[in-house]
Amino acid sequence: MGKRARIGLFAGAMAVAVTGRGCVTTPPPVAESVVAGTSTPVAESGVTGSSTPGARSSSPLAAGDATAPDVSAPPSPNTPPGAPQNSTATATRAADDAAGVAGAVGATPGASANGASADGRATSASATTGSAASQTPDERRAALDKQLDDSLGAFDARLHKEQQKIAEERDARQATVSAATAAAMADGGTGSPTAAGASTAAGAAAASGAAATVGGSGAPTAAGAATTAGAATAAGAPAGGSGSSTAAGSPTAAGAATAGTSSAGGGGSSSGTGADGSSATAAAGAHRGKRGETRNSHAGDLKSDKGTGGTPNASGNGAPATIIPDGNDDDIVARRLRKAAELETDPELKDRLWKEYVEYKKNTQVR
Amino acid sequence: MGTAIQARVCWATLAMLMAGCVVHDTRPLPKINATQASSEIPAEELLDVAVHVFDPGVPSEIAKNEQALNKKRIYPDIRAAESRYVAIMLRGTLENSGQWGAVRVCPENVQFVDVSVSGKIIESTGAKLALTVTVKDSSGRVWLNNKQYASAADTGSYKTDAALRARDPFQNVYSEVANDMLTAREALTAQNRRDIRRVTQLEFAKDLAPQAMDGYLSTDRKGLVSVTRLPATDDPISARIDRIRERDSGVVDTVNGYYANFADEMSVSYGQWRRASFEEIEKEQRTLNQARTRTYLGAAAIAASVFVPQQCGLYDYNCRRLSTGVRTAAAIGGAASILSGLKKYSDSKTHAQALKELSESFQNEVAPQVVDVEGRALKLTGTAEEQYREWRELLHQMYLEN
Repeated sequence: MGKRARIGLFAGAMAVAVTGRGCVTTPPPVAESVVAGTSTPVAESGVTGSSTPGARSSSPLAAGDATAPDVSAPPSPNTPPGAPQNSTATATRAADDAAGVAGAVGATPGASANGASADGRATSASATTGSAASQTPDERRAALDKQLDDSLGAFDARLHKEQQKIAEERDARQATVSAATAAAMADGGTGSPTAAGASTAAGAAAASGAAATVGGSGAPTAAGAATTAGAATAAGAPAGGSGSSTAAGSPTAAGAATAGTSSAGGGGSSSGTGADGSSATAAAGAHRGKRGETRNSHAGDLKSDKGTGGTPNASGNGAPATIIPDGNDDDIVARRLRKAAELETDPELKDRLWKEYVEYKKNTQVR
Repeated sequence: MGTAIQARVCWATLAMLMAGCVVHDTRPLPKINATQASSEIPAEELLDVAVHVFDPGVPSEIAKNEQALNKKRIYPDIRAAESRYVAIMLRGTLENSGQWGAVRVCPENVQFVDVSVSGKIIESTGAKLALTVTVKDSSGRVWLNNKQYASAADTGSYKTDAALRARDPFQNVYSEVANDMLTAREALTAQNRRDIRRVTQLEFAKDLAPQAMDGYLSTDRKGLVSVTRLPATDDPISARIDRIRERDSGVVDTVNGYYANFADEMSVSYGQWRRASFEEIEKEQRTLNQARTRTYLGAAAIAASVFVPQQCGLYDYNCRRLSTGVRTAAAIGGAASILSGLKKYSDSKTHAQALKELSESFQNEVAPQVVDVEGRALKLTGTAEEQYREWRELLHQMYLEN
C-alpha cells in the first residue's frame, strides 16, 4: 500500500470517527429505519435497532445508552401489511417509556424533538418494535401468547405464594392451639381413676415429653388402662385392644402426653390417642383431669366431644389400628382430608375419612 | 260493684304476674341439618356458589350514636367481624352438604359466579341470630329474596368448649338457608342449571373480551340472561379466557383462604364472647323479669290495700281490725316488693354493663383482625384487577390479530 493510500485511509477513518461522534448531539438519521423495522444489524451491534452505519458508529453510547425513535416517522415501504398500526402503537409506548427512562437516568442533551436518548430499556423496546413489525401474524400471535403465558405464570407464582402463606398461617395456628390445649391438659392432668376403670389423662409428662402411665383403678386392669407416651412418636400409635390401649402423644413442641378416654362400659376399654397432635384428644382428658371425675355427656355434646378424640380407631374392639401419618408434610388435599376427618362427628364416616387420608398419604409418598 | 272491682283487680294482678314470669326456654334446640347429597351430581350441573361478605347491619341513623348502638346491642367492630364469620359458616354448611360445586366467601366485587349469596345481619348476639338472605344465579333469577332467618341459640353448643367447636350455636340458621337454596335449585331443570353455568362462563368472557365475545348472550324483558349461541369448541380466545378464569378462581380461592383463616382465628374468642354474651343477656333478662314481677306485684298489693272495699260490718270490730291489718301489711309488702323490683332493675343494668364491657374487650381484639383480612383481600383483588386489565388488553390485541 502506498503512502498516499495510507494517508487517505487514515483521513477516511478520522472522518468516520468525527461523523460518528457527531451522532451524539444530532438527531439520528436512523430513527426512520428503526420505526420501519429494518433492523437486521441489531443483533450484530446488540444496541440499537438501526441498520445504518451511522447508528453503529454511535458506539460511544453503546454501554446501555440508545436512541429512541421518532414516533412520528412514517413506516418504511418494506413494512409488512397490517404492521404499521401495531408497530406505531408499540413504538409510541416505547418512546413514552424511553422518554420516561431518559428523564430518570439523565438523558443525553439534545434528545428532545425527534427522539430521546435513553438506556437499554428504550433500546430493547425499539428493537422489539422493529422485530415485531417484521414478524408474521402467526409470530405476533405466538409472541402475544407468550406474553400472556408469562403474565399468567407470574400471577400463578404470586397466588401460589399467597396460598402458601395462608397454609403456613393455618398450620402455625393449629400447632399453637394444639400446644395450648395440650399444655392446658397437662396443667390439670392428675385425674383420678374412674369407676369404669377407664384410663385417665396424665399431664405430668407434658413438658418433658416423658411417658406416663396411668392405671384405671390404681393399676392396669382388664377394664382398661392407658399408657400415654409423650412426644416420643410422631404419629398416632395403634390404639385399641380389650385390655389396654396405647396412645401416642403429640409431636408438638409442648410434647404433652394425653390419654383421654370415654369408655364407660366394662371390659373393652378405649382411649383417645394423640393421632394428630393430640389437639382433639386433649379436651376430654382435660375435663377429667380438672374435675377428677368421669365427665358426663351432655345433651348438647357431640360424639367428637366424648373422648374418642381425633382417632379413627378408638373403638377399643381389639382390631388393629391404622397408623395415622404425621401431618407435617401434608399437601393441600391431605390437609383437607385430615381436617375433615378430625371434624367429622359420625364415627363411621370419620373412620373412612382417616382411611382415605392414610391411603392418600401412602400414594403421595410412593410417588 | 265491689265484687266487680275485686274481680278486675284479680285479673289485672294475674295478667301482670303472667307478663312478669315469662320463662325463657334455654333447652337445646332440635338440630336442623343441611340436606346431604345422596347421589353424584353431574359436573355440568354442579353450581359454584359465592357467599359475599354480609352487610353488618349497623343502622346508618345511629351508626355514630354509641348509646343507641349499645341499647340495641350492636357493636360495629364485632358486626364487621361477624359479617365475615357468618359468611364463612354458611359457606361451610353449603360445602359440607355436597350439593354444590366450589363454595367460596368473597368480597362484593366478585360477580361472575353461578350462584351468589348476599345477606344482612339483622340481629346478632349470643342469644339470637337473625339474618336476611338473598340468593341469585348468574342468569338473573332470584332464588331467595331478602328472606329472613332467625333462631335462638342452641344452648347445647354453649355447654363445653368442644361442643362449641363442634357445632355453631346458630347452625340451624345456616342449615335452613342451605336447605332453602337446595329447594330453589331443585325447582330448576337440569337444562336450567347447565345454562346457568354457561351464562357465567360467557359473562366472564364478555367482561374480559367484550368485542370477541359479543353476541353470545341476550337479556329478555324480565332481565333474565340466556345463551344465544356458543363459541366454537376450539375457539382460541375462549381457550385463553378459560385459562384466565382459572386464575380468577385462584384469586377467589385465595381470598376465601384469608376469610377462612380469619374466621378460624376469631372462632375461639368469638365463641367465648357469644357464650358470655348469652349468659349476660339471660341474666339480664331474668333479672328484668323479676324486677317487673316484683314491681307489678307490689303495685297490685298497694292498689288492693287501697281499693278493695270494706267487707266488714259496721260493728264487727274484729273483722275491721283484721281487715286494717291486712291492708297495712299489703301496703307495706307492696312497697317492699316495689323497692326490691327497683333493686332488680339496677341489677339488670349491671349485667348490661358487664355485657358492654365484654363486648368492648372483644371488639378491641377483633377489630385489627378485620382490618388485616380486609386489607389483604383488597390488596389481592386490586392486584388481580390490575392484572385483568393487562390480560384484557392482550386479549384485545389477539382478537385484532385474529
